[in-house]
Amino acid sequence: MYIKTIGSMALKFVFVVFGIILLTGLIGLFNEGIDPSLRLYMVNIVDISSSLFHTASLTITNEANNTYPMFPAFWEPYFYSMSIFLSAFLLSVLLGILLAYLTHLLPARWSKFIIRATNLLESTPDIFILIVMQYSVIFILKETGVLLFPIVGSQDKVYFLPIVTLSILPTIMLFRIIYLLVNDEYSKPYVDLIKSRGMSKHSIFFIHILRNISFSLLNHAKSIILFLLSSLIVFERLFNIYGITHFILSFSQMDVICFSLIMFYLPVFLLLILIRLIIDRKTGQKVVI
Amino acid sequence: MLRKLMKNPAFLVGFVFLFGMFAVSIIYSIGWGNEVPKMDLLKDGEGNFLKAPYSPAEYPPLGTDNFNRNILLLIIVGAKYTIGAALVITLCRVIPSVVLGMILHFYLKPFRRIIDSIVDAANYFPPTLLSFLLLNWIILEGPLINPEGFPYDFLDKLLFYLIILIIISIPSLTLLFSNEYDKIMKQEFIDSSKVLGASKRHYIMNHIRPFILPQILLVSIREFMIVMLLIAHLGVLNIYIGGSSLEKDLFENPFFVSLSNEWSGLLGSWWQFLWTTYPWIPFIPVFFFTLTILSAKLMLIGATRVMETMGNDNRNATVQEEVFNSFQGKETFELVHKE
Repeated sequence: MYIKTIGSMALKFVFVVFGIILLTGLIGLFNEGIDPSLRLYMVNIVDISSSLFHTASLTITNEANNTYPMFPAFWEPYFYSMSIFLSAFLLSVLLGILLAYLTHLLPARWSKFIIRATNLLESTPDIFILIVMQYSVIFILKETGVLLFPIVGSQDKVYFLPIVTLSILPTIMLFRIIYLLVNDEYSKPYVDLIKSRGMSKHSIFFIHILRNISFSLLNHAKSIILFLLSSLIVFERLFNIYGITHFILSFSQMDVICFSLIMFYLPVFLLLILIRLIIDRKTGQKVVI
Repeated sequence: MLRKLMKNPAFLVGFVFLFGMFAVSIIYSIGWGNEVPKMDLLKDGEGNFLKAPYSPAEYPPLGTDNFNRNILLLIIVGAKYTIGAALVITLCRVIPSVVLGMILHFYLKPFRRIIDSIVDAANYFPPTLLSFLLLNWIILEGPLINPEGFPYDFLDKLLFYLIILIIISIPSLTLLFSNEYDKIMKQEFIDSSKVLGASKRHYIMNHIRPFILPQILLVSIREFMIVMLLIAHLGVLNIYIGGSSLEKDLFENPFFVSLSNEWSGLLGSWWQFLWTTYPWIPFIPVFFFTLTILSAKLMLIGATRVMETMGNDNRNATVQEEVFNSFQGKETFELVHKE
């Protein structure tokens, strides 16, 4: 059974990598002039694939046409981006669960109102949140002379503000999803049964409900990850973060782009597998990722 | 259905803002043209010259920018390009996907697994990055590095921008509609038509159409929001609708200016003023993007509610489920329950 699961996941990984290669090959057609020829596309794909097999000898070329080896220059921006991305994701999952629990404790009329209000809120564009956060830091600096957090990460790396700002919208989305799933779950008969056996509210929520919704939650987590990925690009640009986006934008050769994206997909993939295995073991439900 | 939609307050508010903005912009350009005049210097109460750019307090309602242009007029002139581009992109994404999804569903069933997986890869290639990399040369680098030998004009660049933004999401939208057809075709009444020997045409016209029409409306509104956000993101990366030109502003700094004054250009080029003494300037385009996206969301909320209350047939079950499932993105998930 495990071999089959691992096999299907490996296949999935190969497909995604293949898809990324196909898309990156497309970029080459529009890099220096527009040349949508099938022959060039094929050449691009072969080029990218062959350089992926020799990753150690990948090079980057800067604006002055100097060529350097890609490693170890790649790792610093990569891990920087990854840590912001993963912390924002984990933070929003934890906060989402916490908020859903707190809302659940409220009277039904209140929580219904909160859910309605956040429906509009979750569609707020990320740039709006970003500008408000950046301006508040500037405003506090101007008013009190206290720089809460370094805003622009030129020399030293900033973590706190980007992570918090990045996780606001996913938190709202996850909070709504979790709350709606929890509400569904509470209408099931087994909840009445454990209630009648005198289990506390607290343990019903965290032990039973949470475990049973984790399966549906993982399905939604994927769309949250994709959302985060899109936002991250704009955030890195506007927070002036020297991360993976910066790296891709300054060395936009096809093989560099392709390798960076695959490396970015890898931890996401591993994370999803890990969650999947945990859910599989705890609840016996199988999720296709 | 249309009349019911118009009676829903949420839908109406969103609709009025969105198309009001669009209409004002078009009326303005018919009556007064597209040019935004540069302001003369203003004097304060005692006759001293004020320093441009002016704040909304000095020059109501929205002040002026670093070229001393009236920001309100800029926003009005730019609205039709921004909202118009988003509408065109949305329609050209959704309509072909409806048809392609049908082809995929009826004729390409055996390849579904492979197509699914490859399209899924596109999900890990963020659309902002993909469209930036595809558009970078023609919109930004080409005219900048080699302005003389650059063969494309404004219209070419505009078309190219639209085409790229349309094409990048057609595969996933096609898949979304195809999944939708799968869901409809799994219903019980389909089996009875099958027994009676229904043709594909019959399925499409009689069974799929009534279910898919409300879906198309919902998907279109959601797609519009996604496109608006994508346009804003591209603005941050200096990819403006129809390209940009490099000009010197009041402070003698070189500055990317959008050729059509559309909002993403304003957003991208004004963001740096957040750190200066004119922090309100970047807020204005961000604010208008937010209003537009939120009014689309209001339309979505209204439309969903109208469809839920329309008749108690199976239809609303599909609609509700869909809205919840394809939250924010276009992927639906295949669930495999334990045997």
